[in-house]
Amino acid sequence: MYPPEFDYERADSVDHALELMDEHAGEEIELLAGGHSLLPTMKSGLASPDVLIDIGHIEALQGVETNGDGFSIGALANYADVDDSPEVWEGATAFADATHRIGDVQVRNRGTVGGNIAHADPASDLGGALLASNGTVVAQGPDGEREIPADDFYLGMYATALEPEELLTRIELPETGENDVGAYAKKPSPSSGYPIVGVAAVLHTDGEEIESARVGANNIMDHGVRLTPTEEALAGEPLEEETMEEAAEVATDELDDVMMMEDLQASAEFRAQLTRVYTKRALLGALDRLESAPPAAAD
Amino acid sequence: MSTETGETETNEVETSESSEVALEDVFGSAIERREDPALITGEAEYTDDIQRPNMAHMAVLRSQYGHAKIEDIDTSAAEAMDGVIAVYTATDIEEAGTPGDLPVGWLLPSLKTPSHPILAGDRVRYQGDGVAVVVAEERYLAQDALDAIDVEYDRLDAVVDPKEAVEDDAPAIHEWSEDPTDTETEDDGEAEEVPPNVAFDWEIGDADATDDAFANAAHTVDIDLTNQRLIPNAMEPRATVAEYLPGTEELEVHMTSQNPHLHRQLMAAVLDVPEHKLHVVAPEVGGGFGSKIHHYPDEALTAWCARELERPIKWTATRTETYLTDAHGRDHRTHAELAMDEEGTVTGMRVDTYAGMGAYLSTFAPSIPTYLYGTLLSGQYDIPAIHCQVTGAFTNGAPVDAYRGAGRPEALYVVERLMNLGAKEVGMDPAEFRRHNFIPSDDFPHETPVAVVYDSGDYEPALDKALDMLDYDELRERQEELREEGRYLGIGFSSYIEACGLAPSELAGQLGAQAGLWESGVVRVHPSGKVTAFCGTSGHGQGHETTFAQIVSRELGVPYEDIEIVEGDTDEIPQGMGTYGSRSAAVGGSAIATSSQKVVEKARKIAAHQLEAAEDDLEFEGGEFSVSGAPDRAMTIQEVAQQAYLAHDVPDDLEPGLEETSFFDPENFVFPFGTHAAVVEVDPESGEISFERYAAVDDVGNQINPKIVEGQVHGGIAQGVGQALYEGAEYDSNGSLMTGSMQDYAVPKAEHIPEMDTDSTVTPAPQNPLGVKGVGEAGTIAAPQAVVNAVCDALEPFDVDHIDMPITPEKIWNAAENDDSQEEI
Amino acid sequence: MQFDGTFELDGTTREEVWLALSDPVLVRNALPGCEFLLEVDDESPDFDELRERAAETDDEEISMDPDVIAERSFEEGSHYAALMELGVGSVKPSFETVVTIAERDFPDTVATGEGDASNSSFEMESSMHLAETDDGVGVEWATQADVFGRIAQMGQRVINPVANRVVKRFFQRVQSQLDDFGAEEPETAADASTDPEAGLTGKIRDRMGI
Repeated sequence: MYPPEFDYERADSVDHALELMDEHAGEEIELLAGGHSLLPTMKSGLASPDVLIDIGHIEALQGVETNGDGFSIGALANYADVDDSPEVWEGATAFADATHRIGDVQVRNRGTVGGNIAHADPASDLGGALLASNGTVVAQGPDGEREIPADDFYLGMYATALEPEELLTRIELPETGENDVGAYAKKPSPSSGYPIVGVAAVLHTDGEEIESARVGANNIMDHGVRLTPTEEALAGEPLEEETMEEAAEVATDELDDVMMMEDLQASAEFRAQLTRVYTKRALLGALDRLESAPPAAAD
Repeated sequence: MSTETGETETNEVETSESSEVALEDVFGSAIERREDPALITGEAEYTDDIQRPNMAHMAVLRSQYGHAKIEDIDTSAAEAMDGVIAVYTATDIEEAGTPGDLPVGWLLPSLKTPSHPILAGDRVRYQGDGVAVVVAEERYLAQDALDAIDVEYDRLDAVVDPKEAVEDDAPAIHEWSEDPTDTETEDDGEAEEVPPNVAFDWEIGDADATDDAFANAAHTVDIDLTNQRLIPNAMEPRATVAEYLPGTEELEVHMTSQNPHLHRQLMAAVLDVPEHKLHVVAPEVGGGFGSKIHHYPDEALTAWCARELERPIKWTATRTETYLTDAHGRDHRTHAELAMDEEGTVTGMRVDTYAGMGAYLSTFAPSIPTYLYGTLLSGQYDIPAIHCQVTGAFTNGAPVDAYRGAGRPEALYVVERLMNLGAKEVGMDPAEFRRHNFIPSDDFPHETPVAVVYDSGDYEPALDKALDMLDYDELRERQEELREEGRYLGIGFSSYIEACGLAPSELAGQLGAQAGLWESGVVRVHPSGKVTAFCGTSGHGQGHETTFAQIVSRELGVPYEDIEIVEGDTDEIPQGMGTYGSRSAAVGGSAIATSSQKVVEKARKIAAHQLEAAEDDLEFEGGEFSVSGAPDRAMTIQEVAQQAYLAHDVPDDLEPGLEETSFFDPENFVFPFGTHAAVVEVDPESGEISFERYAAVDDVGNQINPKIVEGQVHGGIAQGVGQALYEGAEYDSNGSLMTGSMQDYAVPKAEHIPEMDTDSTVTPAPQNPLGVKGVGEAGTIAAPQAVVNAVCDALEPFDVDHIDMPITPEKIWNAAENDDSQEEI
Repeated sequence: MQFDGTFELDGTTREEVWLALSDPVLVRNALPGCEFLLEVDDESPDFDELRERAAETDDEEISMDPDVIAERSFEEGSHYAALMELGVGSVKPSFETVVTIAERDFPDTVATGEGDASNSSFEMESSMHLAETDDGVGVEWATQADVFGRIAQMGQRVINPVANRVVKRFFQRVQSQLDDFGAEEPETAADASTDPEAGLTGKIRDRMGI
C-alpha cells in the first residue's frame, strides 16, 4: 500500500483547524479523523491530497453528552462511544442501532461519527439513521457556528451542505418520547461490510397509533433519503404488523429508478426489492421493541 | 446471513498436548500443532520479514490494459529519480542474454505453447502483465518511480470468456509461427485451421459408446454450468528476497513457494543459472492453496536484478497485485448430459467443457482441466460410458492454474449436479438415486471409462452416516410442513471421490508431466538418539512439523519431542516435489516412513550384532530391540544410534552412521471419498440463505492427526462455501478486473461459514505404507455442489433447475421471481 | 459503459446553444474540474508544455458574439487537450485528456477522447444532437466510455454516477451562461423565434456556417 507524498499538520483545537484550512486553501486538503475512509483511498493511489490536517486529537470534538432535549455527539466520537451509551440507546435508538451495525469491533473503536457523516458515502449506515432521527449537523466556519438540519445536509454522492472552509463539530439528536421507538435494519455486503441497503425508522406513537414516522434509507440512492411514501402510509395507523408490512410495500414508490445505485453488489432493481424488505424488517423490529418495553402509562 | 444451527451439537475433535500422549498412541492422536505458538505470536519468519544489509526494493510496472501493443517505454524520468538504482524492461533482459521465458510443466499432445516472457516485450495480454521493473533504495520510492515510467500503449480488443475466446473472430491473443516444431499439426501433416485462441483440444472416454448410451436412453437430462473464476486469497501475499554472492557465484532466493526444488529447477532454466548454484528456501509461508506452486515472472525478476546489481533485492506483492497476477482457479463453461434407463440407472455421461487458461500457460495449467478433471467424471458411480471433451482457451485474464482441488472440484460439480437433475427426472429421492448408482463395494478394483482405476471403496457407509447425521426422513417431513407455511428448506448432497497424492511418476510422464511426482524423505538419527527428518514436501500451514514427527515417532519408537522435521530448503533436502494436490502425507509421509523403516532395519542389524542374537530373534517395540524370551537383553534405538556413530563394534558389512534416504514413488493415486450434505433455508423475498446444518463424512484413510484432518476439512468446506455463495473474479469486456480488492471480491468471513459436523469412515489406502489418503482438498471438492444442490432443492416449488455460482441473494430472488407458478412474492 | 440522456435548456434556440457549445472558452468554464482546454496540433501533445502555456495565457472572456466565437470555434478534425479532474469525494485523479472533434454538422456533433491519469485511463466517444422543444432546446447526448486501471478496479461504486454528474453540472452551467446572455439581450432572443433569418439567429447561422 503506497500513498503518494503529502504534508501533515496536526490541529490542536477547532480554531487551529480552521486556521490551517485557511492557510492551505489553495491546495488539496483532506481532514483526517479516524482515517477509515480516507486512508484506503490514499493507499490505493486513488486520492492524493497535498496536505492532511489531522483533527483526530481535538478534545473538544470528543464525547457523547446528554443535554436538555437530546444528545450531543462530538464529531470525533467513535461508533463504539455511541453504541456503548445506554442513554443514546434509549433516547435515539435508531441511531445507536445503526452505529452498532457498522463494520466490526475494530472499526467501531476507531471510526468516527463525524467523519462518517461528513464523508457522506452513499452506503454509510448513518445516512438513513441521521435522517430518521431528525438530527442536526453542527458546523464551525470562519464566520462562526451553523446548524444544518439532516434533511438539508445530504446533497449527493460524497456531497454535503458543508462549505469547504467548515468543520463538522457535532451532531445533535433529539431525544425520542416514551412511546417512540426506533430501529435500523441492514443488509451487509459480504465483501465490504457496508450496507447494500440500510433502513432506519423512528416511530412517534401514542402507544396505540403511529402519530408520525421518519424513515431513512442508505445506499438505495447516491445519498441518504427519506422514504416519504412509507412515512405517509404509517401516519395515523395502528401499531400492528399489517401496518408495517403495507407501509414497507410502498417504500421505493417515489424514488427515481434511473438514479438508483447499481453496482457489482446488486442491481438497482434488486436494491429496490431489498429496500422494501429491509424497511419491513426495520418497522417490524421497531414494533417488536415497543412491545417488549414496559407499557406506557395508561391513557 | 445467519449461520446459526440452533441446538446442533458439533463433534469437534479435542486436542491433547504431546506430553500427555503415550508413545504407542502418538500416530493417530490429535496432538496440538507445534508450529502454532511461533506462528501466532509473530515469531515466525516470513519472506517479507527477511532483512539483508544493503537490501534494495523492486517494484513491477504492470499493464492497466487487458490487451494492448506496447509502442514505446520511456524509463528516463524514472531512472533520473533520486534513490532509483535501475529500471529494466524486456530489452535489458534480452541484451543480458537471459532466456527469460517461463516453461510449461505439463504438455498435452495438441497443446500450443506460446512464449511467456518474464517482462512483456511488444504486447501485454492481461491486466497485470509486467512491463518494467524498478529497483530503488526504498520501497515507497520504487512505487513512486513506477508512476514516472511512460508507456505508450495501443489498446487492442480483449476477450475474457473462454467460450467466446475460441470463436473464429475473437481477438487473437498470441501469434502462431509456422515453426515446424510447434506441436499443432494434425496426423495428416497439415496444420488444421484452429481458432487463434485455442490452447488445446483434449478428450477422454469413448465417444461412440457414449453416443449409443444416449441414443438408447429412457431418460436424459442436460445442464449448462459455469464454474466461475476464483482468486486464491492466501493470507500472505507473494514475496521474494534474492541475493547474489559474487564470490561463489551463488544465487540465494527466499520466496513464498510450495515447492522450492521445483522453483529452483525452473528458475535455473529461466535465468540460465547452474542448478547447483541456485539455492531456494521457503521460509514460513502463509498459505498457498496452489497459488504458490507456479513459477511466476516476479521471482525470476527479483533474482535477475539481484545478480545484475549484486545487491540483495526484495519484492513483495500488494494485495491488488496478488489479485491481478496470482494464478486464478477454475473458469470453466460446461454443457453436460446424463443418460439413464427406466430404473434410473445411469448409462452414460457426456461433458463438453471450455476451460479458460488466461493469457499465458501457467506451470501446471494444461493438466488441471484435463487429467485432473476428466478422469474423475465417473464419481462414485458405476457408469458404463463417458465421454468428455475439453477445449482450452487463451483469454485476456490472469493465467489459470491449480487452486485447491485443481480440476477435481470442477469435475465433481458437474457429476453431482447431473445426479441431482437425474434423480429429479426419474422421480427418485436424490440420496437413493445416488445409492442406486454407487459402485458396489465388492466391485473393486474398479476401472472407470475415464482411464482411472479406483483401488478400493465403500461408498454406502459414508452416505448412511450423513443421512443419519441429518435425521433425513424427519428432515424431509419437516421440509414438507415448512413449505405449507411458505418457508423453503433445502437439502443437498454431494457424494464425491477424488484422486490425489500426486502421483505415480510413470503415469504422470505418460500424461505429459514434465517432472516425476515421487517424493524424498531422509531420516537422520543423531548420535544422541534425537532425530531430524527431512522431506521434499513443503508445508505452508498444513502442520507437517507435527504430523511427520508423529509418523517418525511411530516408526522409530522415538518420543515425539525428540524429532524435528525440516522442509523447504534446497540445500538441506534432496530433490522433492513440494506440497499440493493433497500429496504430502501420502507421498512425502510415505517417503519418511520408508526411510524410518530402513533405519530400523539397519538398527536391527547393529542391535543383533551387539546383542549377539539373530536379527529374526529380535523384537522391536516402544523403540527398543530385545531378544525374544530374554527381555533384559535389550538395546534402545538411542543406544544403537550412539553405537552406529562410534562404529567401534558394528557388523563388517555395515557402514557407520544411522541415516536413510528414500524416494517414494506411489503406485497409484489415492482416492479419498465421502458424502457431504447441506441443509439450508432460503427466503425468496430477500434471496437470503441460512444454513441449518452442514454434515461432512469423509474417508481419508488412516488419520495421522484427527485435529488436523478436521481443520483441513473445515478449511476446504469454507472455500467450497465461498465458491458456492460468495466468490467470483469478474473482468469487464476490456479485461479490467472489476473485483480488484476484498471490497468487491467476497472472501467469506467466519460469520458466513456454517457450523460443520464432521465424521469419517476409514478405509486405509492400500498403496502406501501409512494407509493415508489426502484431505487437504476434500472439502473444497465436496462442498460447492452440496450447497448448490441444497439451494435448488429449496427452490423446487419455484421450478428452479439451476442457479450458477456464486449464488447471490439477487440470483435467488430472480429465480424465484421469474417462476410462473407463484403469483406474488 | 454507456451513458445517455437529454438535458433541457430553456428559453433558448438551437442556434444559440450551438454557438455556446462551439466556444472552447465557454465549454472550459462550464466543465467541472477542467483546468485548461487548448487546441493542439496532434493527439500526443506534451502536457508539461501545455501546463506552462495555460498558466501564461490570460483567461479569455466569455462572449456570445458570433464574430468572436467564430474565430476560436471548435472545428471538425481538430484536436483539443484538456486537464480534467474527474472523480468524487477524495478520489479525483487528473486526466490528461485529448479530444478530437470527429464530426461537426449542425445540429450534430461527435467527439472522441482519451484521458490518462497516473494509473487509470479512459476512452470515450460522445455524440450530441440538438432538438427543438416547446420551451427551448433538448440536448440529446450519449457517451460510450471504457475505463481502465486502478479506477476500474477500485472505483466500482463510483464510476457510473461520475459521468452523470459531470454532464449534469456542465449543462447547468451552460444554461446559466445562456440565461445571463438572454438577460442582457432580451430583444434579440425574442426575435430569433419569429424570423430565423433575422437578428441573432441569422448572424449565428452566418458566422458559424450553418
